[in-house]
Formats: sequence, C-alpha cells, structure tokens
Amino acid sequence: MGACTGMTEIITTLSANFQYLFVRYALIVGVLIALCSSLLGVTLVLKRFSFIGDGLSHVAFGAISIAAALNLTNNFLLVLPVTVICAVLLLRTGQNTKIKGDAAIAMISVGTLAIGYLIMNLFSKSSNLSGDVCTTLFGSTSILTLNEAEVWLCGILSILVIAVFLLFYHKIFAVTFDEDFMAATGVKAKTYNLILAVIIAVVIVLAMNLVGALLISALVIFPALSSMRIYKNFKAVTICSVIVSVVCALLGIFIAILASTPVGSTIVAVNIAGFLAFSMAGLIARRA
Amino acid sequence: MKKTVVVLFFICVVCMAVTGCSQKDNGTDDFADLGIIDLDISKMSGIMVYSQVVHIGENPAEYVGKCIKITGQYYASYNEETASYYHYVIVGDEALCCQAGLKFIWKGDHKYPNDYPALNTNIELIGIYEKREEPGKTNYYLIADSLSPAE
Repeated sequence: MGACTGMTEIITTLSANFQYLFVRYALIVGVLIALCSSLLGVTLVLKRFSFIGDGLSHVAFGAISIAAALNLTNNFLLVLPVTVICAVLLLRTGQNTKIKGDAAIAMISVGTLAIGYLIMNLFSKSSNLSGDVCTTLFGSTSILTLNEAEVWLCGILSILVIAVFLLFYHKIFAVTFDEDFMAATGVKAKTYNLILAVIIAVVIVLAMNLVGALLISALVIFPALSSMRIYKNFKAVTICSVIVSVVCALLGIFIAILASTPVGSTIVAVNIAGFLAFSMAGLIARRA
Repeated sequence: MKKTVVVLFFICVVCMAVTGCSQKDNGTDDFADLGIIDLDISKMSGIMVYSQVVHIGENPAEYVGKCIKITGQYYASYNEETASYYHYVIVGDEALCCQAGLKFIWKGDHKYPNDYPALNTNIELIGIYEKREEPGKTNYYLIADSLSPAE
C-alpha cells in the first residue's frame, strides 16, 4: 500500500512537471543524446578508446572558453569544428605518429582544460564565472535550460548521427573488430575511421549539454559495459546499450527533478547502479 | 532467453526499490488551486526553480500577462544612466552553482531603501509579468502586488 502511494505521488509530481516546456525539451534531447552516445560507446570500448570522450570534451570546454572570450553568440560554430578536428587527430594516433593513443589523449585533455579555464579567468565577462564553469564541467542544469533553437539543432545532429550509424553499420562493425583485414580487402578503413571521428565529436559536443565535460565518458562507457555483462555479440550489445542508456538518462532526469540534484551526476549515478545490476545479473545467468 | 529473463527480473527489482523513494511535494496539491496564480515558482524544487527563471528570462514574451509567485533573495542595483534603482529577486539551484533573477517593480509608493528589505533577504512576490517599453530598449518586469518576507 505504501509502495503504491509512493509511486502515485511520484507519477503525480512528474506529470505536473511535464507541463513545463523546458522539461519536455530536456527529456527529448536527453533521450536523443543517450541514444547517440550509446551507439558510439560500444565501438569506442572495443577499440580501447574509452577515454577519448573525456579528451574531446575537454577540447570542447577549451573551445567554449575561447567562444566566450570572443563574445560569440552561438558557440557551436567554433566548438563543433574544433572538436571534430581534434577527434580526427586523436583517432589517427595509432598510425605512424610519434605520440601514441592514451598519451595523446591525456596531453590534449589536460592542456585544453587548463588553457580553457585560464582564458575564462582572464577574458570572460560573465558575472558568475564559477557557476558557468561548474555548469559546463558537470552539466548541473544545462539540459533544463535549452531554448527551442538548441533543441532543434540537437535533434537534427542526433538524427544525422543515428542515420550514419545505421547506414554504415557493417563498415563500423568491421573497423571496430579488424581494421587491418578491412584494409586488406580493399575497403577504405581510413575513410570510415574519419566518419567515426566526426560522429564521435558531434556526440561529445551534444552530450556536454546533458552531463557536462567531466562526466561524458560515463555516458559513453557505462551502457556498453553494462550490456557486455549479459550479451556477447555486437548487435545484441549495441541494442541493449541503447536501451540501458536511454532508460538511465530518463531515470536520471526524473530523479534530478524530484530530488533537486545535479542532472549530470544523477544520470551517471544511475548508470553506475545499472552497471552493478547488470554485473550481478550476468553472474547469476552464468551460474544458472 | 534465460539472460533476458534475469535482466527483466532485475529491472523489476529496481522499479520496486524506487517506489519507496517519493518526496512529499506540497506543490503538487497546490497545482489544483492555481485559480489566481498561473505559475507558482515558490513550490518548485531548486533545480526546477532555476531552470524556470532562466526560461522566463530567455522567453519573456511567453509569460507576459501571467500571474507569477516566486520566492528568492532580494537584490537592488543603481543604474547611473537612468538614475534609478532596479530591484531583483534572485534564485539559485540547490548547489548554488548557478543563479538567475527576475526584475520586479513593487506597486505603490515605495521608496528605496527605507521601504524595501535588506539586500539578500528572502522575499516572496506575487504579481503579473509585464513588458515595458523604455527609451532604447524593452524590459520585462514582475509587477508585484505584494512583497513579503519568505521563510
């Protein structure tokens, strides 16, 4: 009886909050971002590029700082191209470069974060610098303060990402598991790596609105890892990852609204709980 | 099939666990009583309050004519160009990471600073959101019928 009353109160409160346009915007964009990031997450985890989300989000933070210092009204015009360029550079680190994989990510990640914060301190005209930095890094309220233009932009970019993933699904599968074989059969692995880099950059820039720059890796990694506890083939892991990511994002937003907690951290906490639950479920399924 | 059943079982367990986590929100009872007040920001949780005020600030035309109730901290500033004081009610999210505010005009013959509360006092306002054309710009104000200390 107590559980029924509690559930009714939760549903009533959430229904009351759905009347607000910015809440509906947050749910739409949250679902789309969770969907896109989970699609990429499986590939990134399997290619051992889990931390690239972190590196690129710090690059995006640096670009946001420059955009703020230059007083650009729409920072997407600077942030997206800069992040795409860095994604392309980072993903080709395995190919005859002097600075390899994780070192390159670490270098770019901390460098851009430090320079971004420095630029914000020196040149920002904001009256609440620490609040702006906090929001950008942790995404405490960003998803709930989107305007209509931003929602449309997120929607269009998300649909493009999903369309590219579905169109090039088999090629992405091949470049994830055996890039050398793919190149040996005459398929241009470099082209598909480039496409992957571009969509990763787009997803990272979008995901900063949901969880902030510091927590993006969780959104990319946890759904994929959770799914891998149960399923072992690429298609099943991808589908499960999408479902887990979307459910965790929705639950995280609902809990943040009800309990007034920062949205980004709450979504990550729900993802962690999901990972633990899937790990236990995987253990039980293997022993059964 | 077995794995899927186990996963579904865990999802059900999580849902059952969450049912005990409700927070009594007096605001949900008052939504039915909004006969006069169109938007009661005072009953919202911290994160919703901040987001709502930001939405009002970015889309003011949508709220013109609406009766709004809000609680927040009082702040005033002097503008040398117009030689007048501007009054604000400031709200923040729970972590006080971010703050936003609404400009307001208190109806009646009230003089600053004698008739107004001290800066950073928690106040409650009820009023109509209006558009005012001023020299060189358009401003939006909450025209407050009442201003009282909030708990």
